[in-house]
Amino acid sequence: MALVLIVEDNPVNRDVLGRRLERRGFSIRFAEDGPSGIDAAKSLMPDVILMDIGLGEMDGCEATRRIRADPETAALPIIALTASAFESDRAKALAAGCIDFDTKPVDLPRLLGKMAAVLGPKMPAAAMV
Amino acid sequence: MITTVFQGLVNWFIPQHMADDLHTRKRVQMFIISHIFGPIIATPIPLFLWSADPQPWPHVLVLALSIYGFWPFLALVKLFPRAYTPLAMASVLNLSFAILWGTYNYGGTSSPFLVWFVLTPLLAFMYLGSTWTARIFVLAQITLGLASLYGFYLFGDFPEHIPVNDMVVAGLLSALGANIYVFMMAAYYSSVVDSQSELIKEIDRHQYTLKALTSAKDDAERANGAKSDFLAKMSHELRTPLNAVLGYSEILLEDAELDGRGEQIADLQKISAAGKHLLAMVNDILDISKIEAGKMALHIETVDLGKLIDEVEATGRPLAAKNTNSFVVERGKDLGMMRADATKLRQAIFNLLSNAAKFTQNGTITLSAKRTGDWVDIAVIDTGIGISREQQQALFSNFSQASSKIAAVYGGTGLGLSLSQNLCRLMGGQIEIESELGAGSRFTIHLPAQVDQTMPLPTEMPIVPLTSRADDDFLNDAEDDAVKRKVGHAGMNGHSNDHDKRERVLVVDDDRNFLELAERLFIRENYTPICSDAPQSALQIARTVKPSAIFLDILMPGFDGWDVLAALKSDPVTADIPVFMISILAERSKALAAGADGIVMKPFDAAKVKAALAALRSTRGRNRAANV
Repeated sequence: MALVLIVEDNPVNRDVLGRRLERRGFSIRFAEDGPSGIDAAKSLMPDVILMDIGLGEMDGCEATRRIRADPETAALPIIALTASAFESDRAKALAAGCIDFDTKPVDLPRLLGKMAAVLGPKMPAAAMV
Repeated sequence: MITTVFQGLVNWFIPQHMADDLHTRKRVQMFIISHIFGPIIATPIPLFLWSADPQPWPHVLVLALSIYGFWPFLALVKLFPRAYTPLAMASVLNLSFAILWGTYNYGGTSSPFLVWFVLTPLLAFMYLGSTWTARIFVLAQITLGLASLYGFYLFGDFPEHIPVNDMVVAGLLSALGANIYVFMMAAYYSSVVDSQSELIKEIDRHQYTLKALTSAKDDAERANGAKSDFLAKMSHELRTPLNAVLGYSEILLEDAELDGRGEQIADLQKISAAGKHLLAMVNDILDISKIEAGKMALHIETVDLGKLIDEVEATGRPLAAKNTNSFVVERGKDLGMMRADATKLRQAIFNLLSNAAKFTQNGTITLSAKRTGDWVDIAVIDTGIGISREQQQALFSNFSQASSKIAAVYGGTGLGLSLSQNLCRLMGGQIEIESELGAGSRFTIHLPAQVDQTMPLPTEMPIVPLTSRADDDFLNDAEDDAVKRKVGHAGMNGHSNDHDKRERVLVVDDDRNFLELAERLFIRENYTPICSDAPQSALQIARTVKPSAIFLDILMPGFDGWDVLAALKSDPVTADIPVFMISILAERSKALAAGADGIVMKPFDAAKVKAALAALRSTRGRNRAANV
């Protein structure tokens, strides 16, 4: 079962995204901030990380850079999520090493499309759009 | 009554070519008034001498002829208006002669008449103005007059027709008269000086007002920048809770569908639809504030136009069906490929379609796409309620709908058209409208097929950067962005690589078509044009980007080219930047007087741009030479 790590500081956003993805056959783990996201990435080795960019002290870009810098986790695919729709944020996220970028509110079919491109055959059948 | 007649008489004598300039006219008026009254006032003098002198013949007659000789000058000025200056000089000489003739005959250098000689320079300057000719003339005539008086004395004494002691009363009266005359002149001159200092104060007041206006303008621009920032932040904050509304309503909807709770499904669908509508509006506001802040970027890609129309048709069909409209799609031959931002183009077409669907019932909505040369036209035609000519003008403004009634009946925010228009302008085209009230509307998206050819570089977009941050911050940001975009779209623009080396020119004109043309012409000359259609922001942009030259349109609504020029020249940061005025009128001298470096006549073409840039380079070369 495809394992998804959601790094998101807002509990409501965490809950709603987690439950929607769970219903489509993903296995979900959460992290509440940058440092615990980095730890979780290392211990869980998820199939994909959904990283909120607007995190608290350590933002999503910094967390992504650190995950990339660690040889163990460097290959993990990270998709950035942000409520900001500015081009500069997209560019920053991609520059930090995110493989893709999506905006909030989450358009589920669109996000699933991006996840499918990353996960390939690991994509759960219930989540195919 | 008498003064009017007299004023009319004085004006009748004034030469036509001297009547226009206020100061010249005043001088000539003085000349005429003093020539009318002078002989009358002076009449007692020959009368007194005639009675007091035992042998008045012939010198009193000569004096009288000289005094009444002022009157023919009036006739001469009327007959030969162009000869005013020599006539005025001759008149001053005649006055000197009369005074010195009286002096010579009655008492020599002790004569009571000599004191009047002081008046000749006063009158001369009054008639002639303070020119160098007048100064030399006055000095020469004083020297010559006194020298000839001395000469006559050397060759045979002063005649002394009346003993000096018998002229004491006459001498006192003469001194009194001369003093009164000088008194009047001095009073007049000091009043002129006073009014001049009043004028200087007035100028100071105006400059103060100008400063206040400039700072008010800066405040307004900052406020506008703050507004854009605020809208962007607010949109961001609104999107976060919408995430929960849309997400949970979808979860509940899925649950309700699984359990077959029909009534709840309908309610949840309404929540979801309302949330999506709200999100769409928030996104529109965000897009508009991005455009206003100059932060909207284009993602130019190769678009299969036929495929794009297929996609739009698929989403547009259910939309049109809502009001039982039929939907027709017309495809021109060889639509082929185009280079454009597909998402933004789709967004603009979709906006037009949803408007057409909203305002048309039981009619036909037509989507037509065709290619004409280098341009692509995508039209949305409806048979709906139509838009009147007056309403069309306000149609593309933010939050504007054709009328408030429409908002009440049809809903919507009035952002869609403004946004679509701005998106199309970003891509180098525009939306054109043809409509008649009651007969339907036709909106046409007119775009260049190769957006990247007409759109030079993202930093050169005719969107005015307005932010509350420090200018330099913004500039750095804009350059960072430009670099990023260059990386992101390598090969998108052939000019990108040498962009940094090229000089910037700022072009300000309210006509966007003109700006597009100017942009292309300057790029061809290897300059980086920065175009703005907002004259109010020209000073701020000039301060920020410090262009090599500024091209200013004269005729702009509100803040015209002269105002911008004055603002640029009064700011130490921008005062030295060469400015060329763009005009349909030949106003060269006015432009140069106002501090511009030249004028470029409309219509603009490559030759004129070349000439102006050559002039710019040569001015700079001269300055450099002067500095070395």
